Amino acid sequence: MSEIKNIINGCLKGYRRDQELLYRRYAAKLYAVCLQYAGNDEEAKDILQEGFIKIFENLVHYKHEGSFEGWIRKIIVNTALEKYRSRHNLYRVDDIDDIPEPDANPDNEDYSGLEAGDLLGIIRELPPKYRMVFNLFAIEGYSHKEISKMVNISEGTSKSNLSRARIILQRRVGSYTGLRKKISHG
Amino acid sequence: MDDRGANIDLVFRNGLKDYEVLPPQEVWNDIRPVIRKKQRPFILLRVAAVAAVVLSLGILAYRLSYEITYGIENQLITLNPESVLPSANNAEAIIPVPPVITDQEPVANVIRDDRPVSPIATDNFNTTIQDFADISAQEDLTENSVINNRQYDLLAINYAAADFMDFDERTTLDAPDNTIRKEPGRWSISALMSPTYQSRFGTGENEAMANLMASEEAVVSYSGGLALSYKISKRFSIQSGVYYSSIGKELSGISAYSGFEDHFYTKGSPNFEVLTSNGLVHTENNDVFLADRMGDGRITTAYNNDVFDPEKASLKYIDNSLHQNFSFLELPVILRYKIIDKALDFNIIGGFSSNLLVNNSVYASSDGNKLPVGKTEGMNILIFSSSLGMGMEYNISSSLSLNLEPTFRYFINPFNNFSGTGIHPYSFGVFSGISYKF
Repeated sequence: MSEIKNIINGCLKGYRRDQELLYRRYAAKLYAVCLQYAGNDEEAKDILQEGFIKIFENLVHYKHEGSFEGWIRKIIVNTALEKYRSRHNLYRVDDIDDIPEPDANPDNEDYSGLEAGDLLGIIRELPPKYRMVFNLFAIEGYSHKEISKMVNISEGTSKSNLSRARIILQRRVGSYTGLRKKISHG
Repeated sequence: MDDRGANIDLVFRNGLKDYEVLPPQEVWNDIRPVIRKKQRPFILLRVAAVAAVVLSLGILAYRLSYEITYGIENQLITLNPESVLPSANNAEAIIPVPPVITDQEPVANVIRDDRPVSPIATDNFNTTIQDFADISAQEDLTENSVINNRQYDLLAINYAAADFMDFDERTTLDAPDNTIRKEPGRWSISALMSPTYQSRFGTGENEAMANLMASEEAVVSYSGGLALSYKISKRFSIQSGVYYSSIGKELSGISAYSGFEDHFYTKGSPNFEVLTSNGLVHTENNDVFLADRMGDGRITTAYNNDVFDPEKASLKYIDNSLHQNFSFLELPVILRYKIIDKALDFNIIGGFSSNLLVNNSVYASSDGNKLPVGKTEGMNILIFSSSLGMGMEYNISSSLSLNLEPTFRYFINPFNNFSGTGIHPYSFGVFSGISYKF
């Protein structure tokens, strides 16, 4: 029996140590996912907390088929989606023209030197509507058809949101790398 | 644009793929009470369900015992041919009773039976001695309802006209039937078995001990054995015997690996010491490597995480917990007091036992195979326990009975006087088995 299977069995029996082991093993990875979807740290913590409670509650339904990490990640993403849907009306989608022009040429596709922390910072600056579609499409690999059902928008809106998200991200990444180049060249 | 879009997608997908950010400690602190709270009703429900089942069984058993006893008493009167049917010798005393068997009131009317009756049942006052002789000659009373009805009727006549009977006849009717209610012997031997759940009360605990106990989970184990009991009086009996009981705990968060024998010479002694609430576990198998995944400092070794990585050394992973097991040979002295003496008896059981430690082992388990690890040091060889329970005994015959005994057992002295603490385990089991009286 694999180590994770033992931990899951311990959790199902209600063993506190196994619950903590499971949390400690995946919390850092899943918290990074939460930060990707959330508008701020408080929201990310809420998603992680609610997501883990759902994980423990639904462990009994896990059939040990496929990756366990994939299964728990899906729960976290769904929790983030629920949170997004509940707050959907509170968000204002920024107009594309509000995004400041980048300092560097956006066609420059030299993204070297960008670290995961930088990428996370950039993705979190996206308006929630664009961030959600970009995450679901580019990171999780859902189709526009699936996203339209998940976020309750049309496929066309999903495509349009993705396109706008990409433009914003390219500009921001471009300005980020341009700024870096400026700094490095004095 | 599509290519550039796909390119930016890849930048983020690959860049964030294995990214990790440690969440604040408060998140786990907020999760823990919620999942514990959600589990508690489930545990309470299970306890309530067990209590409800035991209570329901008790009530059902009591009712059953009452009905069976009542039924047997009635049958003794109605179906015993010796006590019901008059013999040819005393039939004369019954025949002259005029109020019931007359021309105007046939027997069929008296017994309120609308079914067609045989000519013998509708005979009038002229019923002869020969008629009764015919009935007496029939062996199978239960299969002939007409005859049974007639017997019932005759019984009524006998009681109504008791004065007509001689002393011997009344004695036959009133005396208990010794052929059915045979007094069993004073001795009985029982074979009993029970699943046992173990937990413990702790005294003198400090925070470190509380943490240790939190990482250990009791497991359900089994007890069983033979008991000999002697009936002192109608209600009291004393019992002794030999039981084998096994109790255990799961030490979670400790990963066990095999294949360490090829590596241990690099840093010194291959032995590991694991701190548990029952004492210090000392490894005796040089092929076993242990690692505390909780990082609680429960393990003392020369091969800590800084100097040895079992994954890099390609050790074979076995389990993420250790199993601590203790087996005892139990010699009990138990008193039973019978509170209900029916077909189904109820007893209160209480007594003391001497428990001799016969097995002390720690092992890791993988797919049903046990890998011996070592044993717990400093265990007390002799432990005394007290027990209290309730016994239900269903008599299937005068010498055989089935037993069901929910029993609570408390260990009076601790397993181990390790570091000044006193852990007093207790266990709960439901013994079931069979007894033979002789």
